[in-house]
Amino acid sequence: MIVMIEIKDNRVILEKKVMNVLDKFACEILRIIGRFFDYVIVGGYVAILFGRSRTTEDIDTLIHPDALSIDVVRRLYEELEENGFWCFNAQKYASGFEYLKNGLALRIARINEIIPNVELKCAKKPIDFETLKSRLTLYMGGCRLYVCPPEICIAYKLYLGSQKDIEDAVHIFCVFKDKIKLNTLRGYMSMLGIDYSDVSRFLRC
Amino acid sequence: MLEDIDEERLEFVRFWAKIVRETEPEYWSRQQKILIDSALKSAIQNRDLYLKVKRIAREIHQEIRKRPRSRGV
Repeated sequence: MIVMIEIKDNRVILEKKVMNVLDKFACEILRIIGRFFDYVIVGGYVAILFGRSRTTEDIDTLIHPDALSIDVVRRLYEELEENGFWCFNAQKYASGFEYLKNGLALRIARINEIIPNVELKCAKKPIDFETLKSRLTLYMGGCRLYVCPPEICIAYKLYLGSQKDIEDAVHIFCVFKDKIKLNTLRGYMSMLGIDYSDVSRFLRC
Repeated sequence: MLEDIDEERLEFVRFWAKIVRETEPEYWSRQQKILIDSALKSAIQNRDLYLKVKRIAREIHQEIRKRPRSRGV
């Protein structure tokens, strides 16, 4: 059996992927955000990038707070505006800086649109920093994105625990089933306070 | 929450994941594009409504997270 989607050297290459509107949006906006911050995409869009048959309104993204300053946020806002984007829940850069500094999320979309949007927030918890540190590089259609590794995505989705989240976890687990490092996965589950025996029944393909 | 998971829906997820794993991205992403593009095309672009829905969803989520985590069955 040939596996068509693989992780190698911390990279995933999706050759000949037909780009949907979410992919095009993510590539455009994260190219800008990536100039100012180290970022990693977490949440449902990662499952979608890996083929899940659903959509989402927002692309959850963590940034490293080390680069956070009012000047960086000002320049980010300028560049977003020049490229046709707006931050619709904090429209002035000074309030955007306050949002990020206080652990709140910025929502960025195309000007005068709301959906889709990127939900941008600073890493705060140890698992957030671990996700940034171990991010994967994903290539598709001339675009490069940084995404959370499957073990962290699965653990976090199991932690959230809704039907949609468990489905995302199962999807990622089954797409990468031979590549999943079970000890690493269990380590992240332990960081999040998940008892493996509570969720092991879901992790089969 | 975990005891309410619909296993039948998970079976479909496993079925689709197998297709993603074993076929060219061009095959599955073409179908995925139809689903995603059509859903987002019909999205309501209302800022106040969107932020209100997100705030309520966050409050509900926080409330659920306060409850003791149920063990699987």
